[in-house]
Amino acid sequence: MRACGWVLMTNRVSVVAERVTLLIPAALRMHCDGADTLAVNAGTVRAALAAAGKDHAALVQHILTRTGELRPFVRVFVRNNDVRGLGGLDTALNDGDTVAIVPSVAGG
Amino acid sequence: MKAKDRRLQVLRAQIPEVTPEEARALQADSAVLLDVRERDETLQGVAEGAVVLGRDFLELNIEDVAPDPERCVLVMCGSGVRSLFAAEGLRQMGYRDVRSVAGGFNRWKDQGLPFHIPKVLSADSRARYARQILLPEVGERGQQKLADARVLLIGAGGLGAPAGLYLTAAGVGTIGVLDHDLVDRSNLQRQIIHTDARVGQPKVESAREALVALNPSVRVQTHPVRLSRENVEDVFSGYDVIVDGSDNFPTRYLVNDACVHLGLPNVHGSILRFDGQVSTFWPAGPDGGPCYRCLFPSPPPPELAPSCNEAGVLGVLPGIVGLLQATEVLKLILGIGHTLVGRLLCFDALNMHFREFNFDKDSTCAYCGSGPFPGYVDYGKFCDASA
Repeated sequence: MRACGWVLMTNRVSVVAERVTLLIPAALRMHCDGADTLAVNAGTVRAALAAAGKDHAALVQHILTRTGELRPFVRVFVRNNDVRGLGGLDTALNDGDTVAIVPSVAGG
Repeated sequence: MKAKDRRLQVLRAQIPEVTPEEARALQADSAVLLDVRERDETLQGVAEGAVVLGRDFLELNIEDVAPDPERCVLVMCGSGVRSLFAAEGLRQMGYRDVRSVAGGFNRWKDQGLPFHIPKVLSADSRARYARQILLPEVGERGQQKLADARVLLIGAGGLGAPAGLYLTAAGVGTIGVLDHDLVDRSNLQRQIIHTDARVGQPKVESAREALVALNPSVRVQTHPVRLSRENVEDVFSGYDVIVDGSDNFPTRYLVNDACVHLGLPNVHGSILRFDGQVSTFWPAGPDGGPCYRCLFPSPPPPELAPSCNEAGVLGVLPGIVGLLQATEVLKLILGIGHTLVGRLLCFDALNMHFREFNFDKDSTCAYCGSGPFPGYVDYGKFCDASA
């Protein structure tokens, strides 16, 4: 059973919204009230970020450029794989997927 | 006739014998040559390509050397007698094509066939590294590889401190320490290679003192300089593995570019607050694989890139991440296990989660792609210009 089932229109493809979890790294938690995970309903990575951005705009500004592209110092992994090798921000999500946000950090 | 002579007569009738020349030719045709002499005997020399596997542990370890029982196995001792007994043991284990080298190593040497004098560990080293040598994946041969290895630590800070201490303890022969800074009291919460008494000293000297105190046989080479595009190749050229424990993006991109250009493995670790990241970038390695720029093509702009000085770091975090880096270094030197090439290991200390992510080589990467090396850039400007 899918957790929910409304339909979003993304790039003219209808996508069923799934219950997914965004993993927020410590470096970005200040932008989402300290949460280490955010649960959203979304059918793609882009939609998941958009859903998170409704309440946490600053978080998404650190992940996406103004034109909505992934910043080159942030990687997003779905099912442990880099979305650049999948469908990019349009990578489809399955119910229960985790979407990991990983920014580059330089501390040593 | 003595019993042993009667037994040898039987074995000679059963075990085919080959001359050293024939053994050499069979080696070239994929046969494995085993030297079953005692350790002290092998100090006189070992036939080229031979695997030293003492008689005592022959049956226990043969499958690590020759897992295929159909493969031709050539057994050599000093004069060709003990090899017959060893060969019989292998046949009983199921090895079908086992031959004894007549005349053994003595005849091999007399006939001018190639051999080398093996490097051996001292008695002190055998005692010091006993628990590690016990591991079949390490053994004396692996320990010697560690002794011959040269590892450069970029930074004697949170990551370099634990990595340097454990690599030194493990017997890495040469440790380079590069850092231009002085020990500050605020370092001591995590940079455990330094001490309160050494506050104010150059970090490289403080690190040297700690490393030599731990293992007097280590050769510590200090580089009290700031890494730059002008000096990076001179510094790196004397090392086999680079451990990136730097604390800023310009240095990380410089380290990447130099490692790619020189074909060196770059064992990367980075930390902030409660999170750490580890990977190994080695496009020139046996598995190919991506470089740091394939993962992160450009750094965040300074306003989005807080350092540990600004954002803080849990003291134990670099200990964990630095030791993951040290583990990667040991595997690279020993040629064992699976490294983090093509994988990013992320550690979340608050939730005690380790997560592993896969990423590919970027076919358009200007640095590790198929095109010519684009050269070093002004890394300060490169990082300031990022958006």
